[in-house]
Amino acid sequence: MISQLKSLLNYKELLLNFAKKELKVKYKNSVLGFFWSLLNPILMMLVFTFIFTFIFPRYPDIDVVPIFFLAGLLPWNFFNSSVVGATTSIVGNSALIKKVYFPRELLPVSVTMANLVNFTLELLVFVGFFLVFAMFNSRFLDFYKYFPYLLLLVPILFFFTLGLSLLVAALNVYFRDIQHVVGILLMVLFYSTPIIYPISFVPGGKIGFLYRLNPMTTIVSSFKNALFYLTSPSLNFVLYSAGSAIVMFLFGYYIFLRLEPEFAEEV
Amino acid sequence: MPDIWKKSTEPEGEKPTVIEAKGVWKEFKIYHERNPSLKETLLKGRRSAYESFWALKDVSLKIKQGTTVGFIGENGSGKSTLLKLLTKILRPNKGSISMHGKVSALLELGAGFHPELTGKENIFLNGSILGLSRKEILERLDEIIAFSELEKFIDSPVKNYSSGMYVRLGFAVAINVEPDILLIDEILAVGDEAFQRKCLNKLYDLKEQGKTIVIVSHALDSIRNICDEAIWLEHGEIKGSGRAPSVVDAYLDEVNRQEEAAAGETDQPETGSRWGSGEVKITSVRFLDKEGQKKSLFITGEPFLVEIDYEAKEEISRPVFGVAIYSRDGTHINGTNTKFDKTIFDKIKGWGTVRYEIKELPLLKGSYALSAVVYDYSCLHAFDHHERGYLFNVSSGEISDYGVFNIPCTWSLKE
Ligand SMILES: Nc1ncnc2c1ncn2[C@@H]1O[C@H](COP(=O)(O)OP(=O)(O)OP(=O)(O)O)[C@@H](O)[C@H]1O
Ligand SMILES: [Mg+2]
Repeated sequence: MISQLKSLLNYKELLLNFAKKELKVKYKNSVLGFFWSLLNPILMMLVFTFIFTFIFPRYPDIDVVPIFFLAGLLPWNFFNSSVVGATTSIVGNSALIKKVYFPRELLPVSVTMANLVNFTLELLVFVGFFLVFAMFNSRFLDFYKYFPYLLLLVPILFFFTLGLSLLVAALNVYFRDIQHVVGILLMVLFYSTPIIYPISFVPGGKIGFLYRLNPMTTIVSSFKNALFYLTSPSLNFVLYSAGSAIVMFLFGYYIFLRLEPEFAEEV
Repeated sequence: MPDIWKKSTEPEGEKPTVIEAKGVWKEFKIYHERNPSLKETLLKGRRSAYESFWALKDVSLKIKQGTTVGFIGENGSGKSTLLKLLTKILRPNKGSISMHGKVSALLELGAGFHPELTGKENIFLNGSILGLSRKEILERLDEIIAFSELEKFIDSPVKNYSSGMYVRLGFAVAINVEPDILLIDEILAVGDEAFQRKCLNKLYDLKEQGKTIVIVSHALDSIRNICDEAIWLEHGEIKGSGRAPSVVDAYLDEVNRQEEAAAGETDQPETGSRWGSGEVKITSVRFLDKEGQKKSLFITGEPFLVEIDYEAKEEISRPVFGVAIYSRDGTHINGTNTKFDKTIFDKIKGWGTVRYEIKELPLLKGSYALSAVVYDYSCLHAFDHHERGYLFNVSSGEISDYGVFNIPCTWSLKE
């Protein structure tokens, strides 16, 4: 695996091209370009804000609802669209896979990278939101103090996402219905991750323990600490997140490399 | 079959081997259903049953730097599979492959392009797949576009390209990235005439620059002309290898033999028409070489023998036997008979054989049809006429002339 990683260095140009291609194809034929991709979390944020402001009673300890939602939706969106994109990244590029050789992992990696670019841009837009909301609620003036946590959290999220992406990309070559399974699992995961509700809603005890075993729970709630609550994420959560990211990455990559030699025959 | 790989070590021993395959086996699994679903697999506890199919069996080869090699063989013989193994797209089940140098490949109908991207964007994508940096690609961009002659379409998505345009772009990229080794599968067939010539010229250029080229093609003429060596694959095994013209001839010979075998034992005409009153019947027509062995592929300049068996039910006096040769496009190349050639058979009865012999066959490469006829002395009444009923092929061998005939000639310079 190490030597494989080293040989990837020779292909960084190609990786960049793939990632660019990914972004280009995504934004092709759309004038709004990047703003389309931003629109998705913002629309979701507006919908949830509407629902939880007017239909259900407001969450008790949440002062600025839109930021509360965005803080969870942005990392989730990165995770979700990376995994969805990666699932079909190998089968969807059969023309390339059958005709030219390159390390196949470049495809799911480039999907994740392209989404990372998006995510980064979205985080920058997020800063704009902070500045706007800081006018209403002065506690957001302090946001920059907690922003550096992202330097830790984003890589953790990245590697966790990448590991899962490699796994599903490879499995989907062999079992095409993985695509549908992934869609359903992502939906389940969305509701079992503290995105649209605070983690404090989750009961303790056995259920709470099981709930916290989901790495996305610890990752997303750490993001919420840094972006919404403006507090330091809990050390336990960060350590658990980092650990599961490493395990997920190694496991996903290992499976990918095991299955990779036969991709050209199976796609 | 001569083994060129051993022979060629003598004169050009200095050239290093750049492509080597040792005992390569490749298996394909043929699943009964193509993409098994996860549900079924979980229920059955295994993937669905498959048959294994060995597309390549114990293939070994060595190609030296600067040689141009053609892979030939019938459909499904494993040529494309072998190329894909050389490019690492497929991995062998057994055996090993080593390649030295930058490899650029153009496999069956176009390189790997992304349909949504424009021609230009695909040049960058493909260039970087071949390991070029952005700068290197930019340097070559104009040349690539010019070679492909797709200036007008270079900014539209390749999904709108015709298959010929696809190949143009693919070929332009593949050769302009300055590879050490160029692998090409069946591309010459798709481009139009002008582009095919351009490609051939470019291939000759690359050959002169000492690049190693491997071509898979059914255009045996091109193989014979461009390639130094050829490898003939049959059912995944190397059936022959050596100098290109002799391997191509051996292959053609085999194809003809099989065609004959498939046509059955009888030499009755399967093509052409037949008429006549039937007092004399032509029962069989055979093509023979000088040793009297049956064959249907002749080399220009070889002796060419035709034996015509006949059966005369009654006594016929002064019959006239004739043959005529036609090219595939229907041109009547020659017609002659025993009367023209002043060979009069007084009378015939019962079975017999007439021999027609050309000492040195002047025909050049191509397929030909022969008519065999027997008439009465006036040549107005047909006893039996087989019009273009018998087919044979000619291979030019060492002669490179174009056309139908080999016309011996000399050239000189007068100052
Ligand atoms: N991905 C695959 N899965 C299953 N069988 C395959 C696969 N690829 C090739 N084959 C089989 O392997 C054999 C060799 O195929 P290959 O494409 O190498 O033939 P070829 O010599 O290139 O033929 P052609 O002259 O038609 O191009 C064929 O019988 C083909 O059906
Ligand atoms: Mg082929």
